Amino acid sequence: MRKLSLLLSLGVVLIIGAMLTGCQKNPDTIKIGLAAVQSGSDAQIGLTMLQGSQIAVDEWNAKGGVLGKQIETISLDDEGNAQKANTVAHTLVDDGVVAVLGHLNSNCTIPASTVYNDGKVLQITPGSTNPKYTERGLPYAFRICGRDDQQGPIAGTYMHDVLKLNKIAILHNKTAYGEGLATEVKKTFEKLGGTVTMFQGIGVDENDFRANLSVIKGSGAEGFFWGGMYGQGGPLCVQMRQAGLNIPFVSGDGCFDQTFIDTVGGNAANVYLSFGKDYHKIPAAQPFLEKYKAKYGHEEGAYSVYGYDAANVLLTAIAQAQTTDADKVAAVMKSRPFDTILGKVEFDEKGDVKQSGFVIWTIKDGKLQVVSDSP
Amino acid sequence: MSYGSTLTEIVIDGISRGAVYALVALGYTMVYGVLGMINFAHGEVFMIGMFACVYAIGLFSTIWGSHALLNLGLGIIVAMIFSAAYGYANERIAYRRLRKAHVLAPLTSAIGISTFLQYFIFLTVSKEKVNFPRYYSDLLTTNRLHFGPVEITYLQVAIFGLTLLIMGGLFFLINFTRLGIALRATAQDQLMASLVGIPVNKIIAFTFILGSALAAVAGVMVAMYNNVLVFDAGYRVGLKAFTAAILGGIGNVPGAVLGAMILGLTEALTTLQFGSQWNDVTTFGVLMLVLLLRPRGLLGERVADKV
Amino acid sequence: MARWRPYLLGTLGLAAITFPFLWLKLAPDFNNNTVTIAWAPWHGLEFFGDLSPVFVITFLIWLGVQANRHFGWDKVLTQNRAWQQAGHTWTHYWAWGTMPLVLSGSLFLGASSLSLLTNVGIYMLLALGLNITVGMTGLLVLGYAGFYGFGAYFFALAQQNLPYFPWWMACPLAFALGGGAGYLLGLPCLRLRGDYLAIVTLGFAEAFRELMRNLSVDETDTTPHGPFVRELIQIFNTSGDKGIILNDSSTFGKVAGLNSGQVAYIVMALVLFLAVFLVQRLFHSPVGRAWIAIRENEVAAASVGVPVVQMKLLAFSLSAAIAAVAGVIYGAKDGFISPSICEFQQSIMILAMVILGGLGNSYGALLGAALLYLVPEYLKFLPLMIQDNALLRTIVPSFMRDSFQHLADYRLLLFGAVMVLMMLYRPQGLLGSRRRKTEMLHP
Repeated sequence: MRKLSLLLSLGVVLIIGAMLTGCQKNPDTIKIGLAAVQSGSDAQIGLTMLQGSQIAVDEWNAKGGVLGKQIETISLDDEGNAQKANTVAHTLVDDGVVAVLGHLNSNCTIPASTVYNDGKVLQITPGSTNPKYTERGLPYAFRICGRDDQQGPIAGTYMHDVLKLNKIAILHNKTAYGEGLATEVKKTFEKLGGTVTMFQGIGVDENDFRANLSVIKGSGAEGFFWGGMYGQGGPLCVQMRQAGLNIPFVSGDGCFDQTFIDTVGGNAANVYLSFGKDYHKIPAAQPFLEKYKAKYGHEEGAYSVYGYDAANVLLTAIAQAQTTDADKVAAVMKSRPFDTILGKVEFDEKGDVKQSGFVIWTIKDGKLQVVSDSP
Repeated sequence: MSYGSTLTEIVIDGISRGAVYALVALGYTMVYGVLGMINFAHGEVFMIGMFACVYAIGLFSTIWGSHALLNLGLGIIVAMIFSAAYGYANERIAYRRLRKAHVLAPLTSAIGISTFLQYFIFLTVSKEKVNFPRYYSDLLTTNRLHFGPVEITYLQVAIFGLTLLIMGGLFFLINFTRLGIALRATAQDQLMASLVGIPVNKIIAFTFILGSALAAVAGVMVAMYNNVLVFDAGYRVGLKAFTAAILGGIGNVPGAVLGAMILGLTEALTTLQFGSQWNDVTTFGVLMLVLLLRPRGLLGERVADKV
Repeated sequence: MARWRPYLLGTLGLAAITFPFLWLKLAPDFNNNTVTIAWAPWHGLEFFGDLSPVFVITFLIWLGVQANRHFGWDKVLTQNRAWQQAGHTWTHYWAWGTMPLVLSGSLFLGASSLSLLTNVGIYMLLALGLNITVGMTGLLVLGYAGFYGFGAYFFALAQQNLPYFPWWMACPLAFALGGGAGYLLGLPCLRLRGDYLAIVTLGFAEAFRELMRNLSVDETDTTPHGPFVRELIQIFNTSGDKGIILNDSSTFGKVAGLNSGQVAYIVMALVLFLAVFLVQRLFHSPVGRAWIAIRENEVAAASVGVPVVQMKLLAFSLSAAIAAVAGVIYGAKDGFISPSICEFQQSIMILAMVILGGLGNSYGALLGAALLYLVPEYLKFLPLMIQDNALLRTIVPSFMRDSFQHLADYRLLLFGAVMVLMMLYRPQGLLGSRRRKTEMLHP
């Protein structure tokens, strides 16, 4: 009969818990969701991106919030996993957020956007570059960074015209972002007359690339492109150098992180990444960078500025629309240019920014620096 | 470069992988032989060995600077000590009480402690990947021996050489020493062994310690090979090593090595032919085939029958 | 003193081997391309701080159990004749009472609570299914999430290729196909020893997951797929890690004025009740008794005429079928399937739920699922409740309040610990009897 009392006490616990979930949170705030990868091998880019957004939200809250209410952020981790991102999206929509800043990995953003659109929640992603995100005709999907069909050609052209490579090998991580970017690079490179000797995908949790590198060596490639994130890009580059393959290693914005430099070494040669413009040179960025360093104690991440800009654009649009209704805010967003650190941002019909430029960076003296400005 | 030399490189890579799996598979096979249970947490002591080595190298670098081989050698020894300690702790905490229980109990307990250790490292060391200090791994991987168009790195030589050495040592231990007799006696019949005066608990603990130390060596080798450490590396390698042990015949030391070599070569050749994403599918396909067609493994299993 | 010595030595040993991970930190040294060590005592303190709610809750529970043993509070209820009568009636007619209560919850609960409870329902269904093989028949299945993924992918791929394939068409088909898959997998594997079966099922789950990941069409891929694989990919294009987004016609839609969240909840509840009914009827029948006999001693069961192989196959197929249905419901509810639903982590979670609740006890499986899923979720709300209440704010120190946020990260750590501790001290689970404990520890 002790079992009965155990059962009873557990039942009481569960009922109390159920009542707890019923207790509503503060209704006098406007809730904004921050969703991105915050743990696991790509954590740094996502975490720093959301921290940038948080600084923008704090600034607005200090000025009195938006529409007369304080802004409350709900930050959730999607672990870079599409399934988890879908769950996070459902949670945020059920929690009643008016808009979401996120996600980072295109693999996560694309399924999550279906959920946000069904729930009429506006979404701006500061860092997802896959074209499919805005090509599906979703009215509430926006992005503030460029697209892979702009980024891929930059890398492909650079490899063919500047590095003078004729044969390259391409590996990708089979996610929407990695595969998409790699495909764009392949298309550009072949259009310019080069040959792609190998185009394969490897799983996101693969760490041992030796066999792949042997095949690359055997294929006679003069250069290499990695479509994926820094979590695998770093070890891949290191293993390449250790295997004696000193060919140029080119990748995209997914490898743009301090952790990548830490892994490959501060004086790694022949490493090129494509990314957006250098915001360090823009004077408007300095106050943000200082505030970021002061609040979080470390340098900003690749997409922190984009996160900050996205949050500012969102809140400005809400303030102008005088409502949180997704249709009206989306209409405002598509109707006018916004002033951001990265310059004027204007959204087109699909939700992409009208102008964006990618440039090629390389590693010098332990930091990433722009090497050429070819748009 | 011709297909021939790529093939040779792939074969060498496959042998190195096989050697690593062999080191870990030995741990599984010894424990299964003596206790009749799968030590699911064996992959985790492999992983802990990797991390312990990095911490040790860090410690020695802080104390007396970075002298390559000294730090690395000491690091490996420290890794072996830590893994052995964790293996012993696993046995004492999770398995000792459940030796005579229903087969479900120690297996579940093993899974529990495997998950616990994995996430312990995840939460305390790093949620991301940790880099192995390049000074040491560069030393062993960028220097290579040349045999015609084929290059073998020092690391691959080291892996293969160490594995052969350890295999020989183990063979000698099991067949030509009194300790080996005690091990085999405990594997055959625990009750009788204790009746003739063999300290069964100590022998079982020794089995765990020995297996874990070997796994630590394998861990350091893999860490230098891949240059990254992740918290779930143990789970992945553990599963493959266990497949290798079953393939060769569980409870059987030469069987574990044979199975591991076959598995390593299969993996490398799959990457060459079909791409590395099919590695896991082929590995488990091989496992299921073996278990269906010849469950005793290639060299036959050697374990006391439980009626 | 001598009695404590092994425990003291043990604790010191554990402290020694966890020392570097808890109290030291790796810092890369770029000049020499190596790493250095730094003291990080706050790291270890943070670890224990985050776990402090767990310690507190465990202590409170232990206190409660000890107090109950001393004061005999439960005797007030259990020895009261009227309560015993009521309990008796309750056990016979509880379904009639709870079913309307549960179903009506869809009308007055908010969207996030409904979503939470639907998720719990899916895990309850999964735990119920796993309980059939692991708990009742004693076959350890480590790759249960593979069947879950099988059902989900069947639904996703079918609705991708067929013009109209809603969830209510998929459920019975998934039940049948899942059962078939379980049967096919079980046929060769059930004659293997217990631990081998566990590994084979794990291998199946992992191979299935990798297969689903690899069957993605990519015209530009130069990996040499044979023509057979290309054919396969045309039909079974799972888009790998990018996942399949399900059509609106296949997922739960609006029905008779209820929105999709409510429909999902009601369907889940109905399916769960049906499944519990089915499983309990089987359990309290010769089939169930055969399962228990096989669990206790297979040879003895065979010798008294129990058709061992057929009963094992039945258990295996049934639990695979239930998992497949759970997969369909998950797909219909969430609208997105990717290979990570058949991860080993999922299998471990479900196994932990069954073990916590009680091996062999269906209601135990349900309870285990509810506890392991809901408690971390509820703990997230605790800080808000403490914040609003002045008295609690003074009692509960701030570091503990912050730790509730992080506790979700520690979920799997605690699952592992729960599994080990349950096996060592209470293998019969929460709802098991002490006779069951003896059966498990001394077979």
